[in-house]
Amino acid sequence: MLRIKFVIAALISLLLSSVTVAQNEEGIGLTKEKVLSMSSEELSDLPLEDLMAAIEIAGVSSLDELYELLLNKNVTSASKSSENLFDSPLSTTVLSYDEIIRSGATSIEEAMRLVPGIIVREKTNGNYDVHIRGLDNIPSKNLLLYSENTSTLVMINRRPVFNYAMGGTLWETLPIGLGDISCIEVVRGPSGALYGPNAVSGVINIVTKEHTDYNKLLSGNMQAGSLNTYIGDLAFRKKVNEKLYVGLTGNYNHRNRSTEELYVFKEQKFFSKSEYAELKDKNGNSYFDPNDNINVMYAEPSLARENYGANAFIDYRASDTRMVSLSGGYQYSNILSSTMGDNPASASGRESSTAYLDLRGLVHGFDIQANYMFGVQDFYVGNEGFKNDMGQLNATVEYDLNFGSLGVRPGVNYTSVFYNDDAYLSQTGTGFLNGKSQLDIMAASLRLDYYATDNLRFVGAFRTENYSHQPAKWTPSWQLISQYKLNDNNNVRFVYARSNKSPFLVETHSNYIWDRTHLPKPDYMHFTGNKDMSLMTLNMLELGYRTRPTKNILLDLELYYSSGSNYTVLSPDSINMSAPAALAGMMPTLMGSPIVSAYMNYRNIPVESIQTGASLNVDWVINAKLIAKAHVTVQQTKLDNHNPITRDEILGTQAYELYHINEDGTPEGIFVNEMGRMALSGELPAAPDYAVVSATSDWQPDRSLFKNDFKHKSTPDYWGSIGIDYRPTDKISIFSNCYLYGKQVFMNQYDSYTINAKALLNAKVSYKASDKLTMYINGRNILNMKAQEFAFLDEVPGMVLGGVNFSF
Amino acid sequence: MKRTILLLCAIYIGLASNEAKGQTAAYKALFLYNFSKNIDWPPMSTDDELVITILGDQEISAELQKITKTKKVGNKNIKILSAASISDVQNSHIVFLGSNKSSLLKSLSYKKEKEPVLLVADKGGLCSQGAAISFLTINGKLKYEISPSIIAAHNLKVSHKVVSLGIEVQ
Repeated sequence: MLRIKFVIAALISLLLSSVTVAQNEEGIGLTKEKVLSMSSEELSDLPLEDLMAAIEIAGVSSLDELYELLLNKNVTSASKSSENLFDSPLSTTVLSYDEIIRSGATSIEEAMRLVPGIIVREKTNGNYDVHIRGLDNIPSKNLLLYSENTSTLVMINRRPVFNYAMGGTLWETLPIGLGDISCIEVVRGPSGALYGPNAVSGVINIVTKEHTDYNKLLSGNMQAGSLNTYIGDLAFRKKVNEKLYVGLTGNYNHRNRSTEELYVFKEQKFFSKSEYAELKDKNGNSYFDPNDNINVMYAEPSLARENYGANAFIDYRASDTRMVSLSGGYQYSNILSSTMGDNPASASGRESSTAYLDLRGLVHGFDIQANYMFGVQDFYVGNEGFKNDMGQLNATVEYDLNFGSLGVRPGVNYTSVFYNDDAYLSQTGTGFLNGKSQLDIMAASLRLDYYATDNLRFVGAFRTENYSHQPAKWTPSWQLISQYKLNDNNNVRFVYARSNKSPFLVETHSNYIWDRTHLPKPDYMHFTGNKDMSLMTLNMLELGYRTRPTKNILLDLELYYSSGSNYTVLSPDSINMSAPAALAGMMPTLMGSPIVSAYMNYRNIPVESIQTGASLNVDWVINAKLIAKAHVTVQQTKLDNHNPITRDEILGTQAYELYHINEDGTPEGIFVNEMGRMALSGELPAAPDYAVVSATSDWQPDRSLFKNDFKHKSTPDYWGSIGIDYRPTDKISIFSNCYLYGKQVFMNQYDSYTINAKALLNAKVSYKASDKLTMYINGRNILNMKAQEFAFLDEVPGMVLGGVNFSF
Repeated sequence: MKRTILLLCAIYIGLASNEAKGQTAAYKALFLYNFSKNIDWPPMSTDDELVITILGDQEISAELQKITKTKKVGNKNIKILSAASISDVQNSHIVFLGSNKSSLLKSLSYKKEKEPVLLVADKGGLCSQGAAISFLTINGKLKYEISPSIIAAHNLKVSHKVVSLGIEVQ
């Protein structure tokens, strides 16, 4: 199968090569050699049009071009206006399309391995966990859901693509492919003052192709290889005239898993689908809920990811200060990855079908953006209650005022999100939300950017948000920055910032009863939202230093300290045991098995995270043929008020408190004592009459059990990447990269799981057949290091892909 | 894994070699000289010579010095001044802002808003922040964006040729 794919790719390449005509750059009777041999005086005699032609023939030296492309990038996300990356007042990285494609990254998530401070773990083939600076798995000892990164705001052209239902980013639901990207801008550290809630650990803003990229009518990138992996994108872009640009793009992604088996937490190993369907615990209870259909829940257990998307762009640029962009698109995705439900197995399906419209306008200083995303999302395929209709509206108006050394940018924002599971429930009560739930956020912001001198800059950004479930409360976030440019090659900054998460709809609106009557006790679990919680907040102090020791090296150092509080969790509140009982003779007797109901609610927990860390990034253009890039992050996270008790241990203790029996056989539980009390008081009538005995335990771990200064091991002590981009000839380029991370320990409600240190070596060899066509072989994890990167999920082996990249 | 990392480091260090020199600064200097020939300034106090101030780019300053040793604009000598900060910028016909100083463009354009000066920047997209002309590289070719409206706002006249050869932004 693989061989056939390569043959097809080769045939396409040959076909495209045959229509490619090499360009001979001669226009005014000059050759490149002649131009390069001319003196400045000779060139200065040329009229402008001839000078331009001569410079075009000579081209910018490849070294100068590399300096410009790699060491002198522009960024807009850190200040909301274009600036030199070297001058960015925040910890910022820009990854260009060219860098992503050269690296061989097969997805946006994988490309994040090239960015300092980002931990990327592959869960199943093509599905990743992406965390900025860590703080993962807090709170731990609970559902796998708490491994999701809910503290980074991902945006496409500043349009949030955040999952406000459960928190986090559903990466597979991004409608765009790699071919749509102009660059990805990453800002590390709390950035809520710029972009609103959930920009807690940072922001990832994916910028799609700009009008200057509209110089190729047709372009695409297609590759295929191991594990039935097909990845492709195709774009049609047309500059209609000097003001109007249109584009139509599409992308497709199909990847199989390395196994068809499912990992069952309590058995600590993988089972086939049919084995899992029949699997029973030591008490003879089935793991799989007989109410569910295994063939719906795991219709295709070999599939890791399938998604496709289509996008249309219209860009009208009346001028640099007056422009309107309209984009719209659709995506479908179906993946098998870490479960978002309370599932006995670690993996479950997620399916999404959404569309969006995004309107952006720049009119004489007003920066206006409005977008709407809508569709259907199922967070746990095959399990009733997780499928929702959804809509997300976001509108922002900001205004740029320039007073010379002072820039002022006030703004307002309105966000409205709804999820509605009504259409997908067999009866009310079986959904998480049981109807339409809505979250509205109003925000006002102000950013001040002041140059006290040419070298000394102060930035203050402030934003306050009002959430519809707490209408009387406004939540502030801010960035206070001072930046001093020692000279053109040395820049130091100090940042104090605060950001918060938004509430997620399951946290505030959950209203769910899980009927577990065919499963081990409890018979019912009640999940209840909480509208009175405080929002998780992160405060950060950061010292940053950028330097260009020589023209060809850029170093970026970040030292940071953060403290996080108000973490939220779905936690056991109480367990109730109820049963009809009567007096039979002298003894109280149960008339049936007690009904056990567990009550879970969302709450703030007292745990606080304290993180200290440092990142160092080096970009080094060694010469025109060789570029080296490396980054490393080291960190340590400590927890105060860490609760060492798992969710299931709390449930177990509550149940024990109700029904435990001493070693000598005498009952002591609250429930049995209650039965005894009722019998003695006469409340318990003789059979066949009965009364209901009901008792509740709300046991919670004593605060004295909580630990301070607890080392949080879910985030590795170090991670980073080192890579070289070697271009031995104009035709051939070799990119190799090693991404590595240290040991980490993941904890959920069942188990602790150690992920050992790992190094992933990737290499891509490209052959540029012409200006229009490049063919390549792409090796991912070429040392075939199979160890799991994410707890309880797949071992993804080494992969080889072959592909073509073309543009006409 | 340690061996792999050490091996990679050895390969990377072994492949390292000396830096080569680029010629882009010379081209930008030639462009600046050409712009000076194709722009009309209103009468100014410094009419006996044409003043070009380079803010934060010594390479371009040196290249311009080479050109202006032998060249004039009309019958005017060209005077090249170097500045390290905005406050150092004196009355000039052209101010070139090196890419390392791009962050000062907003302040500079605000300060020079009413003056007959051609502000030239060294990064794409800076015409939206007040530059009249801004260099950029597209597919290995050195180009420039030009904003006729900003040029006119500074009371300068630019030849049609300069506009048509650049990437016009309004």
